[in-house]
Amino acid sequence: MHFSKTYSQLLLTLPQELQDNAIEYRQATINLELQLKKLINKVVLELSSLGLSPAVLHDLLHSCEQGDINGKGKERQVGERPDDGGLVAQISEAGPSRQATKAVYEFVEDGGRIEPRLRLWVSTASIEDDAATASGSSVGAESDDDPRVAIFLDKPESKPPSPDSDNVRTEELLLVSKPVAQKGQSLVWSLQKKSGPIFGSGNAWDSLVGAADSDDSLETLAHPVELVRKQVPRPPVGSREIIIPLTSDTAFFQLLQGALQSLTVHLDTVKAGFIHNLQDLSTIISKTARPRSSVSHSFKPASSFSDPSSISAGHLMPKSLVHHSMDTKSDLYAWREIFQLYIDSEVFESLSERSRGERSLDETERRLSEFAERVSNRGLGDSRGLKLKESREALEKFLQLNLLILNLKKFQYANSEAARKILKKHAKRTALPIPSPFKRLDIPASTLSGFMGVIPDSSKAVVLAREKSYHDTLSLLPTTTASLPHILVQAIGETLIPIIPHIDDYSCLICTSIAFKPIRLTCGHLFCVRCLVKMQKRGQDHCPCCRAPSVLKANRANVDWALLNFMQDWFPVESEEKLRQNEREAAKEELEELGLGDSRCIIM
Amino acid sequence: MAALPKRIIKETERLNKEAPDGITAEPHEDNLRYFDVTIKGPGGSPFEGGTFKLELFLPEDYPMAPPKVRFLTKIYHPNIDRLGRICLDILKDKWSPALQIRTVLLSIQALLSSPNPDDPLATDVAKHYKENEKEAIAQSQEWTRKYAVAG
Repeated sequence: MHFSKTYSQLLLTLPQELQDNAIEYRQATINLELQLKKLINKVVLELSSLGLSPAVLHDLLHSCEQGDINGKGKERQVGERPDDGGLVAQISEAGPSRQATKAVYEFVEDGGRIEPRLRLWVSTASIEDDAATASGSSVGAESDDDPRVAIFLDKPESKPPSPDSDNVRTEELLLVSKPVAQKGQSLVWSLQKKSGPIFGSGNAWDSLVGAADSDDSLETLAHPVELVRKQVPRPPVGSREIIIPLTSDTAFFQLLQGALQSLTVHLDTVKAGFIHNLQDLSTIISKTARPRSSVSHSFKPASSFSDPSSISAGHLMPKSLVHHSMDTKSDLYAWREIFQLYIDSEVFESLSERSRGERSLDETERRLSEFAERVSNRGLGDSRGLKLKESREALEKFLQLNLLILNLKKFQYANSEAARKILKKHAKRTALPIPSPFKRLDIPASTLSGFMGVIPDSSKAVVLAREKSYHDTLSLLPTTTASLPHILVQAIGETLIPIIPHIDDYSCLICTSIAFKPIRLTCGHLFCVRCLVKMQKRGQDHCPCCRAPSVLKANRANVDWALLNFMQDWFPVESEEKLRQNEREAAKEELEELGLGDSRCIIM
Repeated sequence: MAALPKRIIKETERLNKEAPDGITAEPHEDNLRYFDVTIKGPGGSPFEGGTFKLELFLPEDYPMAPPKVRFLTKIYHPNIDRLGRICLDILKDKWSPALQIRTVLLSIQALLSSPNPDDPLATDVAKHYKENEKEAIAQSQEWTRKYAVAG
């Protein structure tokens, strides 16, 4: 896999306690890549020893698909593909009418292990012919006529019994449902290289639609993620079924599955470390961005004024917060600005209605560095903005956590690329098609988890009962992988951002500035005193939010003292400003009511 | 002229940044309370395909008082008269200071989708709509083609 390089970069940004684990992990992935490549070679060897070289396999798998497309296996003519050279042509000649020898590459789940295997149908006519010549022993390799057929026919059963009993035995042996069973019973996954109409266009979602159409709706509900579940194509009557378990291929998929599972475990560690760091950071920011009550001795948020008019501009002394003249420092306003910049930057996910969702790697990187730039341009990164040393360290840590998410995104991309490449290599070398669940590794992992494998029994009860273990064991991509950056971005949004109350949550709906002094109407809606006074003067009684007649009866008893104190505590500057503005406006109105409007000079 | 209230500045910014679908509203440079508005005829309505021009003015006591809105493009609609005046409750007695330019324009867009001949302003158009709706709709479409399609 090719992500060693990306991974090295990621290592640099990890907190120390995560690095050891990460180094181990990196070593493991390098080994993994080698092992997977070796196993592909083994699969090729194993298949060749069965007479199933890539060329032969390609034809077999392809013939099945063609049979599907045509609806009948026999429509394909021998001469259709001149470069065919061998097996299929051979068999079509041997079998007089139902010549189709088909193969399906499928996956069985066995106690949580994924076992790929090949299911072949050979027309009985040709078997008998061959059996006659080969007389039941391993003649295959030497058979000059068609060695390949002979060999793989030789494998599962030496003597060809009647097709029916053979089917039954195979079924018992391998715990699969009878392929020629009735419609709707067989739930074997058929994995096709290219998809015929029944398989959908190869796009997983198309297949899902197909499955939903043809399957019982209950089953579809129970397995929303099974995309290519489908019946095995009905083999031609009079053909014999052979199932070949693929040992090396099983090893390949198990190794890959194991690797992906250990990736989950590893990412869980990273996640846990991230959350831990985030909580630390949250504590530090809470300590450095303190409200007025904790830095000024003159202000007590719990104190209740008996008369709201006793609160006037200048009464609040927020200067101690913005300037240095106070006993304890707070970086409340700097942090508020930093978080506002962060929210506006929409680094990882777009919040706009038109393009909601996770951003691309490049876009994320660009936005993250833009955010960092803006912070430092405004002097928020140094002692001009952040007065406390702890704040500056916390900002550094905050940026590091964001960088970690970015690198995780890169890492995840590299991972899915690597998995995709190794599967592509697998398909190319063996001619076995890429199992469709792997085709699109960038889709959410939860969708992938159910893809791989077979439900051995068609009975619905069993299906439902198995559902759970099925998901646990067969998930090739861990469910948390795809969305980990998203989860971490959410965690930042939920842990850090709410530390500092946002002005928008305390604004008056009418004037859009802070609702100071806050009046709570009897209907429960909150506005600033100034806007309500204006409404009362106009005789407007209906609450702007709910139209309840609650405006005119509001009086000083409606002052929300708890909120008023909270606002003075967390928004001292805004509260003060609003208070001044209210007073100016009220004075002007009073003058106007006396007939002395505007600032025009009055000449007596 | 007094300084523009914070609320109007905020509303203008947001209209500029993310206008609702099919709606534009731009303030005049010399009078930031006066807006040039366009509304696209909603799909499925007799006004589909047309782009209607309106003017919107925020009075001194906005948002205590509703904005004044008027169609500039001729339109055959039972609730809009020859002068472009609009019969819409939230522009009159049902105004609330919690409403905004955005919500007003969306309401007008909705009015184009569902003409209400039972509460008419243009009585002749409303009568037409009530007596022969098919013909009246055809008339609205005709006017849309004639007056609201550029070029």
